[in-house]
Amino acid sequence: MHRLAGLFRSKSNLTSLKQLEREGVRSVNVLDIGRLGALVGEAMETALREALAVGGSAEFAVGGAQVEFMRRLGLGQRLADHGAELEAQQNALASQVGTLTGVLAQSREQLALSRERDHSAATTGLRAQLDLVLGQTLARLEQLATSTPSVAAEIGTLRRTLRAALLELLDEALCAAAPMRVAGAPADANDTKLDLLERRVRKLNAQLLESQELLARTRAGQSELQGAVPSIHRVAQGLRSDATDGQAKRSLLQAIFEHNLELRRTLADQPDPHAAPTGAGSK
Amino acid sequence: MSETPSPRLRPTNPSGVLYMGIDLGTSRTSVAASNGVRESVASYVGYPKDVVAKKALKKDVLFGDEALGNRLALDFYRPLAGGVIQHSDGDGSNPDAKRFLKATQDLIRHAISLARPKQDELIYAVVGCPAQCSLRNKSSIVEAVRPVVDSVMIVSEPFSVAYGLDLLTDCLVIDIGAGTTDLCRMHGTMPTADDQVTTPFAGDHVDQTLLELLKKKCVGAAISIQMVKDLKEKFSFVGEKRDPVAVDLPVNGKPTRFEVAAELREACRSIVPSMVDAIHQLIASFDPDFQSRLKNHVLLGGGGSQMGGLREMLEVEMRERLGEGRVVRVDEPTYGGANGALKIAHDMPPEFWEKVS
Repeated sequence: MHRLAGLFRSKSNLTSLKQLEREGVRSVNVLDIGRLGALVGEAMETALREALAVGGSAEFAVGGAQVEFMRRLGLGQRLADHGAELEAQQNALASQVGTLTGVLAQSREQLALSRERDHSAATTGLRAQLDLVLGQTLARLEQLATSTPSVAAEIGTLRRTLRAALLELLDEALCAAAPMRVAGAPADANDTKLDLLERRVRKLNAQLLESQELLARTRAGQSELQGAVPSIHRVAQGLRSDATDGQAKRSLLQAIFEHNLELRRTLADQPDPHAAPTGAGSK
Repeated sequence: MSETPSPRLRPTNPSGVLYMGIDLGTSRTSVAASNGVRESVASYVGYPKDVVAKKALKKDVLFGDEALGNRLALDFYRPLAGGVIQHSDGDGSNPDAKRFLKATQDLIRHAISLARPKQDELIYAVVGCPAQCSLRNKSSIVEAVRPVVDSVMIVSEPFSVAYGLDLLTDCLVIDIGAGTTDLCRMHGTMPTADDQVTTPFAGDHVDQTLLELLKKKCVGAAISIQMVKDLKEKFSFVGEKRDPVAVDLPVNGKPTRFEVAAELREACRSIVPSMVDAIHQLIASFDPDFQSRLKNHVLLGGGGSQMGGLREMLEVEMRERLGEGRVVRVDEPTYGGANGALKIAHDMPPEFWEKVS
C-alpha cells in the first residue's frame, strides 16, 4: 500500500501555495494519496482473492477490481453504467453461446451420420468379400466331399454357422478399430472442427458465468450505495387461493390484464408520435 | 434539458420481485412498494436554465419542493394537468409534448428511486390514472413508465382506491385530486365508462377561483398561485361555521394582513355542485334495488377530501337530492391510490405480468 502511495506521489507535480495564489486559485480539494493508495490496494486484493477462489480468468480479476474500486469510492452512477455494459455484454455472450451450441449439436449429428454411412459402406464391401471367399472355400470342400453324401449335408449347416461367426468377428474388429483411429491416428477435419467448437463453447460459457458474477457484484454494490431495501417477496406472488372475494377479484384482475394487453396492442399498432419525420419521402 | 438516461435493463437472475403502486398525480406523486417503503413527492420537475444555475444547484434535475423552491433558476415543469401528461392528447407534433413526457419520465424515475429498489429485483408497477382517461393519455403514461420498470399496468384511480380497501361491491368512490375529481361506482365487476365520471372541478379549480377572489378582495396585494395553494392546504373548508383566516400578503412590498375566510370557503365550495351532480347521476342510473346500499357507502379519498366540512356537506346535499346518504373519508388520502395499486400489483397473477412486460 505504501509503495502504491509513493508511486502516486512520484507522478504528482509539486507547486507552492503562493504559486497557486498567483494563478488565481482560491481554494483546492485535498486528496489523501495514502487513502487513495489504500483504496486501490484493497480493491485489488479483494478482487484477486475472489478470482483465485473461483479459478477466474485475468479479465475476471480486472473486472472485479473495477467494480470493487467503484463501490469503495461510492460511484453509484459509474456502477450503474458499468452494470449496463456488463448486461449488454452478457446478452451478447448468451446469444453467441446459443448459436454455437446449435452449430455444435448439428455438427455432432452430421458427423455421427457420416460415420454411420462409412461403417455401413465398409461392412457391405467386406461382407461381399467374405461371402465370396467362403463360397469358394466351401465349393472346394463340396467337391472333395462328393464321395461322402452325409458330409455334403453337413457342409450347408457349417457354411451358415461359419458365416455368422466370421461376421460377428468382423463387426467387433471394426468397432475396436474406430476408437483406435481417434486416439492414435491424426484426427480428421470433422473431429478437429468439433473439438474447436466444443472448446469455444466451453470458453464462452466460462466467460458468461464470470460476466454474470460481475454483474451480480455490480448490482449488489449499487444497491449498497443507494441504501436499497429488499422486497419482502423473493418470487412473483398472485392472488392467494383463500383470499376474500377470491372469485370476484380474479375476474377483476383478468379484466385489468385484458385491458392493458389491448392497450399494448393499440400502442404497437400506432405510429410513434414522437418519432422523427421520415425524411425526403415524407409529405 | 439533460439527456434521457438509458432504459432500465431487466435483471437476468432477479433476487426478488418488488411490487409498486404509483399514484401519478397532478399535484403529488405517491409510491407504495412491497419493501415497506412509502414516499410522496410534489409533481414538479426542474432543469437548471444555464451553467450558472447548474453550478449553483449542483444537480442536473430537481424534483418536488426543491424544484419549486428554486423555480426561478429552472426550466420548471408541472408535467401533469387534469390527471394526465400535458400535451399527450395531440399527435406528437407539438415540441412541448416531448419535453413534458421527458419531465414525467424523470419524475417517475425519481419516485421509483424513493422506494429504494434493489438493482437486481424485478419491478412490477401498477399506475393509477383518471377514471375517464383517453387511450392516448394512457399510452403516454405507459410510455413514460415502461423504461423504468420491468412491467407496468394502468388502472383507474378510484377503482384502485376501492380495491385497496376491499370495497368491491355497492360502493361509490370519490377521489378528489388536483386536476380532476373522479367518481366510480363499484358493483363487483370491472367498472365500465358508464360507472365512472371525471370532472375538472378539483384542487386546481379551487386555487384558480381563490386567486381571482383574493385579487378582488385584497386590492394592491401581490399574490401568486403558490401562495394560494399554501393557503388552501392549511385552511381549506366548506362548512357553515368558520374561524377567521388571517393571511399576510405583500402590498407594495409590505406584509399586510387580510381576512380571507369567506373567499376561501367560496372557492372550496366551487367544486361541490359538480360533485353532487355526478353522485346523483351515478346513483340514479344504478339498479334501483341496490341504490340505497350505494348511497350509504360513499367513500371520499384524495388530497381534496381533507377539506373541513366536506363530508358533512355532501351528506346534507345527498339527503336533499337523494333522500339519504352516508359518506366516509379514507384514512390515508395521500396513499389511498398507491396502496390500492400496490394491492392490485401483488394480486395480479405472475403470468399476466410476463405477458405485458
